Amino acid sequence: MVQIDIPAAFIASQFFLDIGRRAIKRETENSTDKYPAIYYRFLFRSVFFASFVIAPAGIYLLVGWPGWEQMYWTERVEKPLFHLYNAMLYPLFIMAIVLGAYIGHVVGYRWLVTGREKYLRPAYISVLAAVIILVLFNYPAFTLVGTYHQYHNDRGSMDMAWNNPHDFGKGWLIVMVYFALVFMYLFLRIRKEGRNH
Amino acid sequence: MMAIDVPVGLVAGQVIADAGRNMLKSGDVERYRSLRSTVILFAYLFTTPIVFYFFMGWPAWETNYLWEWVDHIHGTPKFAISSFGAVIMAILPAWIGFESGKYLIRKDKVGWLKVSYISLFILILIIVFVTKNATFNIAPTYKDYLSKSFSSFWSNPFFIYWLILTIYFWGGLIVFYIFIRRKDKCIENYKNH
Repeated sequence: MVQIDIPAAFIASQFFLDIGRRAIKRETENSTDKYPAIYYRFLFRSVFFASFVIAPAGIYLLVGWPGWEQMYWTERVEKPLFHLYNAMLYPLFIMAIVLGAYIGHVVGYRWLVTGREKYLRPAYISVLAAVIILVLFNYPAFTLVGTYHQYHNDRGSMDMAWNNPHDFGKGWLIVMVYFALVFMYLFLRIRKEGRNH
Repeated sequence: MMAIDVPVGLVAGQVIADAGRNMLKSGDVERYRSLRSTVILFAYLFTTPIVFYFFMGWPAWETNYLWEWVDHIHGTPKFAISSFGAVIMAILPAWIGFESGKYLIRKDKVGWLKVSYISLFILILIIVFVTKNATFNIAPTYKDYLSKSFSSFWSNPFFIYWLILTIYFWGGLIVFYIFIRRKDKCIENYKNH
């Protein structure tokens, strides 16, 4: 969901920094550069994860099931064809994801190396909590698949997400498996680096 | 347009590599990683949004009127997966362009790098010329294009939006080049002293 994907990029960046904090602090203490190699290693990971996983996965769901993907907040995403403004929503979504990842990394890294690491974990956990609350607050949007018009005028005609209407279930599962695999890979790799450092 | 999106991405990646040639030549891992992240950020803030804007708004035109199915990608995983592919296709050429640029720089072939991206730019112009019927006629759908029901590329507001986005992209690339080049020259000056 749009409302999850953008903060997810921010959360993922900060989470990667959190699990790699020992290695980051050790390397920055031993370095005279303002931005040592480890800064760019983690920056690349954040940007890579956002741009090759979150953004493509999010855009796939937004294109395929535009109503569900943004919890039926606007009808504009369902009508991008030949519309100068509506079509702009898709690229803005992609840009917001990558910017979220970048900001998460820059802010989190700064906290880690300036003695304010105590803010890191509460920050991304708070953002995650806020996202969960927002999604729940929009119940039953995430349980129903259909169009904006159906959701706001005729919910009886919509189907439950787990019934795989319009192949939604398949699409969502593909995306989640892809997300989980890459996330686990990065998580294990960063942990392993932290132990070897 | 799809036909030029790949060479445009390659040009962007190679130009950024050229701008940071001293950083790449130094073999320093940190400098290489910083440039690599810069390329991906550039691709996602400049290349991919523009490709995607036209892919969502004018899919038939964006795909050079090659396929009809692009007009119906909403609501089906089989066709919607093309959006996933479009995003990857928009960003990968920039990364490949950058890595190819890095390769040429480290082989001491900076001249070849400049020839490469200038040639790619000329190729873009040639492609636009060769596909001029598809490029300069904006049809809502594939079927409309076949039935010659289209409007001119030069008509507003499409043209104005296209122009703004084109200036945004090439202007952004120039700004990135200048910014990286300035940082890169500090390394050159440091080495000469």
